Amino acid sequence: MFFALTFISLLFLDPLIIGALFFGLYALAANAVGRKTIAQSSKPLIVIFTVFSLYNLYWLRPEGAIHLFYVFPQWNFFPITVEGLIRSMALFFRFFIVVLAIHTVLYTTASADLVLGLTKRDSSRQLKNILTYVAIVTALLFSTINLAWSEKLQNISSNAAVAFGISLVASLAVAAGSYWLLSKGLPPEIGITISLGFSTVGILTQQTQKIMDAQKARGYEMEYKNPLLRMKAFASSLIPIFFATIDRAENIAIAILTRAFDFDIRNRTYRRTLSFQRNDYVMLTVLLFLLFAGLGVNYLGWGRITEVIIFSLFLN
Amino acid sequence: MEHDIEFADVSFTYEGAKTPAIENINLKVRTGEVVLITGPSGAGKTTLCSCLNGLVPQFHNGVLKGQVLVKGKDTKKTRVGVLSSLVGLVFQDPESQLISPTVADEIAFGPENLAVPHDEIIKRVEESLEIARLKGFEEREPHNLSGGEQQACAIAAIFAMYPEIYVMDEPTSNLDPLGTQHVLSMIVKVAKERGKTLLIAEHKLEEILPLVDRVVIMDRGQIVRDDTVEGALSKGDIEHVFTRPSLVRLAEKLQLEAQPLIAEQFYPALTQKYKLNGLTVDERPMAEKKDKGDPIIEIRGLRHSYDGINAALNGVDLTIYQGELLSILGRNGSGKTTLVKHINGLLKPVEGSVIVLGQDTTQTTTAQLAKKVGFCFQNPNHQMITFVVKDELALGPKSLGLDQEEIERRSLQALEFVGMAGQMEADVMALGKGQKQRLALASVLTMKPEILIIDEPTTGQDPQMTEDIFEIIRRLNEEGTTVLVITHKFDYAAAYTERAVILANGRIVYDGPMGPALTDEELLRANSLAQPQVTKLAAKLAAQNVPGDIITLDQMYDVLSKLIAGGQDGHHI
Repeated sequence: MFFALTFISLLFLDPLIIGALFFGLYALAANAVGRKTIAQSSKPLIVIFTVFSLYNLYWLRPEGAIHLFYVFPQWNFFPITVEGLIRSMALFFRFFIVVLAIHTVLYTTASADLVLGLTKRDSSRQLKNILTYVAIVTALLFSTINLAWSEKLQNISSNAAVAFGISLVASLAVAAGSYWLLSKGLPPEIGITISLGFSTVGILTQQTQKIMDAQKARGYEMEYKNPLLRMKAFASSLIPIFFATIDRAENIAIAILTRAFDFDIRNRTYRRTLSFQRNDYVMLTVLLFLLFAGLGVNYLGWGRITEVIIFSLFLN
Repeated sequence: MEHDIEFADVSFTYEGAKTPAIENINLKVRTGEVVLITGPSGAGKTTLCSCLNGLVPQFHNGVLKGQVLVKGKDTKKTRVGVLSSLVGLVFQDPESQLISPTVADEIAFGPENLAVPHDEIIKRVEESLEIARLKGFEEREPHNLSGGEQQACAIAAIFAMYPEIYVMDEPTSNLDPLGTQHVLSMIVKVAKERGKTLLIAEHKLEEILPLVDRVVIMDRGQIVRDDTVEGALSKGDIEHVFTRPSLVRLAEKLQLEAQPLIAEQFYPALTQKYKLNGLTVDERPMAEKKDKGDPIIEIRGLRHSYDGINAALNGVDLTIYQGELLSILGRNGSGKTTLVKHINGLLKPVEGSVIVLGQDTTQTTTAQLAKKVGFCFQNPNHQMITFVVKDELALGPKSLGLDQEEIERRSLQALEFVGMAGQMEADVMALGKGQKQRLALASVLTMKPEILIIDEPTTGQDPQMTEDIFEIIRRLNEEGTTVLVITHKFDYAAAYTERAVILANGRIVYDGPMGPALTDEELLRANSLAQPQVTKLAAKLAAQNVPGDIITLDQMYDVLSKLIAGGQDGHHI
């Protein structure tokens, strides 16, 4: 879902459409994760993205753009154009869609499921699932190839049908390749390692907090306002944190060995199973629809609808 | 006869160690036997357990002499994974064994590795959750469970693997008294029902002895006694290694035939042999009354919540007076640690106020408060920041700005106080568990705190170390320090502290002298505390006018001597 959304957002460079997409996703995410969590994690990003958008404002100046004013008029530097403004806004939303999509995936999917999705299991996958994979990947590639190389394709053959055929074959080939990669998956050792990583973060944070508390309780001032002094205070905790972490690593190794981890890794089984459910199919359809809608909109020349509206309103 | 486990003249020396951790071990365990392994910390119990699934010598490097056979498999030649499918090993600290994002994943991890089919895994997870009373916890994160729940989870994870041999290395060291009883009886029940062998290393003899077939006592790497329960008990105590439960020792002093572990067995044996007289009023032991000092900690209407939703403390009022020695008791997760963290300012009140030595904790920092309020943490490893004992001791006084001479004087004094004189230059990392705990205590003492807070000082310590720590606490208190101790060791708390504060769900449910708390069985049970057996015996002697709050063996012996001395058939002891 995250990849697909990222992809779709790349298709549009129009603040109205992208904004609509963004708010749709936001509603979904807020429903699944909770407004508070999202707000908390995206706050710092707003600043970063705003800076980034400003930067874009400077660079995104298509030829023949309508010039409004200079930010530094005395040097004729940093012109602001209508297109630049509109597109920077679109970009801002685009970044957020990517971030929001990642957040939603991470917050709603148990880390174990996520890892499981990446890990190799018995090869008895259902045909249905294979087909869905191939369908998604083909659709994605088909659209990219058409978008990216449409001019080159036209050079090869002006016949639309031939061009279509070539891109279809190319897409299928890449789709098959990526399916092969996906189905191979990560070896279970790496899958488990990633999963361990996920569940260890919380433990290590707790541990660090305990150690810092212990330092404070022994008369170490840790609550400095000055960041330099704060760093220095933190450094004194590094020795116990280091040893506690090494200790933790050894304990984890013992824990998984004790649970027969090296019994027969290649053939280990899994309690969790991943399968496509009704909602997954609904989501898939919606995404595919959006994808083709995006292509269609661009094809029909409505891709810059905001610009078009503004121009027709003010510049006639 | 078939043997599940065979140690043939086994010695193991860890890499870099001078002396062997276990030496000349010869041990055969029959299928279905339930064996207790006991002995002081550092006796080699954990090493012995680790031999069984091949962690020694395959993971822990060192030299293994002799041969260990598990179900006929040589542990030197068989992979740990294969041995682990036969031997289910649970270690002391549950937190370090939990590695999965949810409880259900944790339990499934073993069976997954053993390539158990999917449907069977689901069935086993269900079953293990049921046995360990963890139903409803499936999706919880293991590291956010309470100590007792974590231990239950670690054990459930091993149950689900259906091993042939169960090995439990001090599985109850983090648990409160009722939790201990529950976990021990659960382990033994499962092993017996499945007809499997069980080895259990444990210090809590009163609870475990009724459940086992055989007792193996270890000291300094060697097996010093290997016998049936009756046999092991009748051979008497071994100083610093094996101290029999108090009622057994009492029975011996009174020359009773039986070896009663619990009051229910002791009482009939006693009345059979002796006719008991009643105590006259002036023979009743009198509790000494100490005058209350000035209030030095005043907590009013304290509320705290970690997540803004669930209250960790919910309206606590507590006044602590100069020179008191009090214990803070309650289940795992009842708010004990949260409460004491407010006293040295690690936590600031969300609502209410905390005044320590006349100062509001919101107006100062922990580092400032630390000059007056010493705080000893549960895990001493978390507070050691240096490599040499001397440096560790000097840290506190340095932050007070004392001169070198004074620092040295105080360090020497503190080290002597905790019985570690002469270890000034020792390597911190090389110290044993008990010594680390005492060093942690000493390094707080160098700051000469007026108030000392000790959070679970005896986790994972053997009875001797526990007694040492409580003796240190008592001496400190006698020298004028106000001491608050959080502990699960209720019998020690009852013997050493005068005042009990019991917390439940963030509220104080009892605050008063230890005596009445000790005799209130309902209050104790509700808070997962259990009466010591001596106190239970006292309750049975209520008809003889014996006060109900007797805790120690010596007190009980005094009382019984008087009861018997007055008896008509004239048995004198």
